Amino acid sequence: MSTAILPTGSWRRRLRAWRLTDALSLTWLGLLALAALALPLFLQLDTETMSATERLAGPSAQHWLGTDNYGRDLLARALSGARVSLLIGFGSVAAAALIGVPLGMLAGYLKGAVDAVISFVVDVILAFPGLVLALALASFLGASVSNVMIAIVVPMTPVFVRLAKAQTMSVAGREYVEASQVIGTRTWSIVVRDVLPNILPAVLAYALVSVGSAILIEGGLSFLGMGVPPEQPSWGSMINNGRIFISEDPRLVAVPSLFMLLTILGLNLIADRFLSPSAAATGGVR
Amino acid sequence: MRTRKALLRLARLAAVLLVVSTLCFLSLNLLPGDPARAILGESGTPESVAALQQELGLDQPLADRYVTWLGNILQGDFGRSYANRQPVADIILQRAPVTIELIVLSQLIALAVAVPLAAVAAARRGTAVDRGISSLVFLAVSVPSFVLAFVLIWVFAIKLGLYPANGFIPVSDGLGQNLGSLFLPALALAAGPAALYQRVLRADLVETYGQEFMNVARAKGISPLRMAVRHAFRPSLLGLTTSLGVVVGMLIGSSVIIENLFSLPGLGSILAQSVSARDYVTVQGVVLVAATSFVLINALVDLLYTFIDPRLRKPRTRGRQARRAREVPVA
Repeated sequence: MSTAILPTGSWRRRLRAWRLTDALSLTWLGLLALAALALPLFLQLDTETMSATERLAGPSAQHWLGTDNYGRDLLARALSGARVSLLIGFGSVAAAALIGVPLGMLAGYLKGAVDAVISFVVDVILAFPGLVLALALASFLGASVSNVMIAIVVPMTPVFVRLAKAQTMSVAGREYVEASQVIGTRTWSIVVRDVLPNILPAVLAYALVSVGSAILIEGGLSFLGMGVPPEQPSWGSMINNGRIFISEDPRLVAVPSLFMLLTILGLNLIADRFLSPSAAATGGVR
Repeated sequence: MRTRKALLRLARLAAVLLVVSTLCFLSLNLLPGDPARAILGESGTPESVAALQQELGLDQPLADRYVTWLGNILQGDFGRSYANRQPVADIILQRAPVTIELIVLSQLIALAVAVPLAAVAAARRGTAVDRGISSLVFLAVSVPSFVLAFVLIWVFAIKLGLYPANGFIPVSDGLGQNLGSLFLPALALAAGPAALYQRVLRADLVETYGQEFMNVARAKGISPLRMAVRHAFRPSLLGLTTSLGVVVGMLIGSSVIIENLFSLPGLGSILAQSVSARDYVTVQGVVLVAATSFVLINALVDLLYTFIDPRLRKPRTRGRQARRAREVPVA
């Protein structure tokens, strides 16, 4: 996939198009994904062992990033949090895109009544500010990873509908689409073969930015105590747990914050490399 | 033709608001199991459950309850909070000013930072200055508001001891004190929007600078400052206006977290509190007010376009810039 996002040209030019920040972003995200997904296969991450003697201990050979107020290893918890955050981030964005993009393409291609109905539903959902809707949904549904994902998918889907619709409308008038229509190609075939490939770059770029937003919403929900259940550490709940110790030991807040910040920054930087201007304008902001 | 369009828009707005309110009503009434039991939780005795059932009108059919509820809402009766028996409408009226002041203050800060940065970046586009500002802005876009809030608390309140980390001082205790107590939270809320404003305004300014009339101005020998203020700004305001609508949604969300973090008695903190206290009547009222204001503000922003850019009054002659500005997806 990486070749598609880079400027076309000889490999030399492609290589020069890479910047240090791209390499750093990919390295960080790669390491994080590896640590979050692969590490548990070889090594039991000990996120729960409490120790009265090692409360708020600084970094040591045994605890690389030190321990929290219960003496639990911060690095293990942050990596375990990465698993939750990445799962929720990528999972909910994938779901939102899978629901939203087909609906948006239908609305943009068929127009008329289909568009009117879909657009109205989108307007209604977008009437609720994202985090407020997520918070209300999470409180009604109760705390679990899948409910948090639902709470994130609902406010996120309409944006994919709008993006896909706008993109489809700009593609639908092009000659190659008209040519397909003239030779009598079926509608679904035009949509899948002619429209979809052309709107995909913009959708993918926006999806990457959205992963950052989803991680942010999850963080916000956990921070407010409405996120994943307490036995699964997440970055948001770690920050929430550490906030009362901020003057004593800011590390408890700083470690999960830094993990979250670097991850969102990395996703935004990579998305920015092949981003459509409209998605760039909203960036990774909630 | 134009009045018809305006009426259609108004009807659509009314329809969205009606469906939004219906959803708010249903959210409480479709709680799994019995709403009264869900609200009272484990602590509910059979008597208190029965009393609440009667208060919520659960003994009547859903449609009747909806009509009554909607009538009450229209008269400003949002029901009573189950946590402290206060009318929800009073709670909202008491707390709304804090949230509004916080949001307005944060946006004044955001604009005061973003507009000069955008002007400088656009005037010096492509230089190291522009790139430096862009990097800074990129960082600001990616920082979660509560992470920034912790950095601010740590630096200003804990390390420098300049500032109390939380609490709110009302205007009646002095305006200076009041603004002081809102400064750090407003700063935390300002960063994301400021970054967004800078990006959008810079892009529009660069486009405006490339246009014919700017060449004319340049040829007349006008100073760069006068050129920016007198000629470039107004045609470049569209993107900024659009992002205003996006930002309000963002701000309502992040104010929930920031108010909670700084213990500010606004709408955001009561929403967070009522969610964890399962005070669903209050949640319902606050969500309804938040969504309604968000919809109305976006409708106002739509109206603002035509004042800022006369090109939008005739739909067929819309400029590329204007069209693009409207297509910014709402996050």
